Amino acid sequence: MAHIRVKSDLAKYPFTKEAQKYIESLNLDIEDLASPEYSLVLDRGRERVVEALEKGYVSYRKDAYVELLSFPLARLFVESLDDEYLRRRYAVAESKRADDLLADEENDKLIHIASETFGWDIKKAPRRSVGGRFYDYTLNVVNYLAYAPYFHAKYWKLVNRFLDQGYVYLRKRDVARLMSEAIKWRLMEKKGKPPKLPPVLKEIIDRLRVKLETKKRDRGLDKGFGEVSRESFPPCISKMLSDTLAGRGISHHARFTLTSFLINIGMSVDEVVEIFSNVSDFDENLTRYQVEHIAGIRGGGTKYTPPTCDTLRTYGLCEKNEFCENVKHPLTYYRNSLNRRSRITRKKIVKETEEKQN
Amino acid sequence: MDTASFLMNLFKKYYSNNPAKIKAPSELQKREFGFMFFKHSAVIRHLGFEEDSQLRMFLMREAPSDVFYSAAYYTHPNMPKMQMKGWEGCDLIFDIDADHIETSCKSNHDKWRCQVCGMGGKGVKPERCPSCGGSKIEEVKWLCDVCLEAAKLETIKVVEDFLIPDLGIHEKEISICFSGHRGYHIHVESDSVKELSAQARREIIDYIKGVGLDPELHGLQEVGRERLIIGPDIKDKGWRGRIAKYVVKFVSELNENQIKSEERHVKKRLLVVLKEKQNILNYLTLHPPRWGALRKIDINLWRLIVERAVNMAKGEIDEPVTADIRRLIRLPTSLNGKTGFEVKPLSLNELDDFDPFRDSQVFKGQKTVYAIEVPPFRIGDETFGPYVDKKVELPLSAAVFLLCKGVAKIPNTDVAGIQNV
Repeated sequence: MAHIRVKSDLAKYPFTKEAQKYIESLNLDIEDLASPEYSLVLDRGRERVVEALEKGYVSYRKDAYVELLSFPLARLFVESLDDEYLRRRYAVAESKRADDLLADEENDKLIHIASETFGWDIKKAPRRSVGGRFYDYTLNVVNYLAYAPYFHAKYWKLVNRFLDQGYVYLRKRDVARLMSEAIKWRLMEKKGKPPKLPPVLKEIIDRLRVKLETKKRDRGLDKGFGEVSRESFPPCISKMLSDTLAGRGISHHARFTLTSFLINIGMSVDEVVEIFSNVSDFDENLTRYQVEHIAGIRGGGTKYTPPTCDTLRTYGLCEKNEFCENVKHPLTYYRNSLNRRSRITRKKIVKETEEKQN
Repeated sequence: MDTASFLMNLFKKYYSNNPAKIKAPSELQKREFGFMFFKHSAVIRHLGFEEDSQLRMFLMREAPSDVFYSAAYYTHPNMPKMQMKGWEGCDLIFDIDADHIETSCKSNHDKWRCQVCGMGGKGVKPERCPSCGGSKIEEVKWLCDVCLEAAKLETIKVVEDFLIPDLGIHEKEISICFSGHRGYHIHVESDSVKELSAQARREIIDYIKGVGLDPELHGLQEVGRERLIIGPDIKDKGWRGRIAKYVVKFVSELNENQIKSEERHVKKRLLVVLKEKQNILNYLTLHPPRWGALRKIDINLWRLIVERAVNMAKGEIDEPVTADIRRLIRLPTSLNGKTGFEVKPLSLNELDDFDPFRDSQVFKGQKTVYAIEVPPFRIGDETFGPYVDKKVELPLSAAVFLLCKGVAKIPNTDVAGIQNV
């Protein structure tokens, strides 16, 4: 039985086409949700967001009706709060929930969801082994490449996959993981604010906002980068910077990376131009023009961000160290590193005051 | 007449006399065009054409030295800013360039010169000038049969080993062309590749180049308490089979001469491989292969062998061309201003017998030029040069080639230009 008809299935996978159709068929109004009979749904909707914020994971509850209806509601809360950090965190948390459920799902149902909801070209793998290994599915390489590049383990690299005639051979847990990534990206799409909400919902949103702000403050996300701290630079950027300061020229890609990094952490155009003045073929006007372009002062007005770690690796600019584990972007490294340093300093201060008091 | 005017007139005549040869790309209205010219150095881009005839008219009227179009499809290709164009998708392009393939002839025919201090040398240009450290280095790259043949074999390899069997791309979705200079381009046009992101394209690049390949994930591992070594079979598909096949190829071609230039510790290990050559070839061609049957070859030595095999098996493509989803690429059927050769579209079958120095020549007639410093070269069945500071009468295609390369000029006294185009 490939189709998803049972309500418990819809509740497990509220992102599917079928679930969405079912919800639409109920013809609910936002105002309806404010009535007392939906209080369980409201609670669960709020809880989904809280779970995402606090645990980074949304649990699975057995009450099908509540579980299903609370999904669009939670999304409504997130969209109303309109915060990038929350949007991402919620998307990740929901995708983890889906990942766990999908990994235990029947083959036919998995294929059904993948092809109906995501439009993937996926089939059951032939029942023969490839060098002693059995696979569950074959997935069109184009669908595979829509999400697999976001995973950074070498296991996910296409070059390490069994690929034949345009199809990647996968196991069930691989497909579940890819689908959960697809869900994450769907949830990260901005939907825009809903028009007018009844007071009950507004109140919930206000309470969630307080929680969100506290969480962000704890993680040090509420302010910019503060003063530039060279000790906190990722190793790739440090190398580009020291090469430049030493008057060694660096490649075009490296120059772009360094400039966009420095601009993004709050350095001024003048300061960045000054750094490049050490290079032998320095041309102040040209450099200034390029730096201003990257800073978004010229050209299309786009402020550029540095390339991702993946891209830097492709261009041979990666200088990985132990803190780079799980980091996908140089700016993330910088932020983590700043936080790490401020934690250490805070601890030191606490310790010193304690010592003084003693 | 100066060189630029001479070449421009020739290109103009070519485009005027052969309008039917110019093939506009598919979905012309969604493509951005870019051009370079003989008389100024600016690149004109963000142009769009509604109909084939407009493009042909433009070429006749302006006679650009080089013609490019976007592999991407845009809603508004002629908008001046990239973010206004509305990106809709992009063909999958591969560039196989002799620049990225090691050939021994380069040190003979390629030259570079530092524009800051004037120092120069032969071979591939250094990233920085060894004398002054400057990065403005001009280079003159020559074309020869060896380089272009290497690029052609690489092109066939990319198509026949990777695109068709592994990536499942249909032959009719693939078009190949000679770039008119040092290599070949492969265009893949299909609805499914159109939507590939830059990241996805980078994964395809890494797949073809074998970047990040872990042999263990292709079955080379020790199993069980006995730590028996197992590995892929030459009959396997994808990289598995390729690894096995190329290990056999690497080992069968391995000889003492080759090992000599290796580092000491590698040399020692490769000598073991050489000694076991026949055994390796016997065991690995069994089905299933017996990777574990050779006591002298442990898993680490196998990994070294596989690394070498992957190096032989990979396809040498130029990354940025494939990864950039907004790039402009030469228009097949146009002329290449670096040589005057045609950017020649080729089927996979035609590629086998294609001779760029014969089959992409479009000019007929004779022309006397003043050759400044010209390495030997061939056009059609004739070989020319080397010439140093010499006035020579050449077939027009050969003369155009030297003028485009900037290694010859129109003699000052010359007034009679082009009669026999």
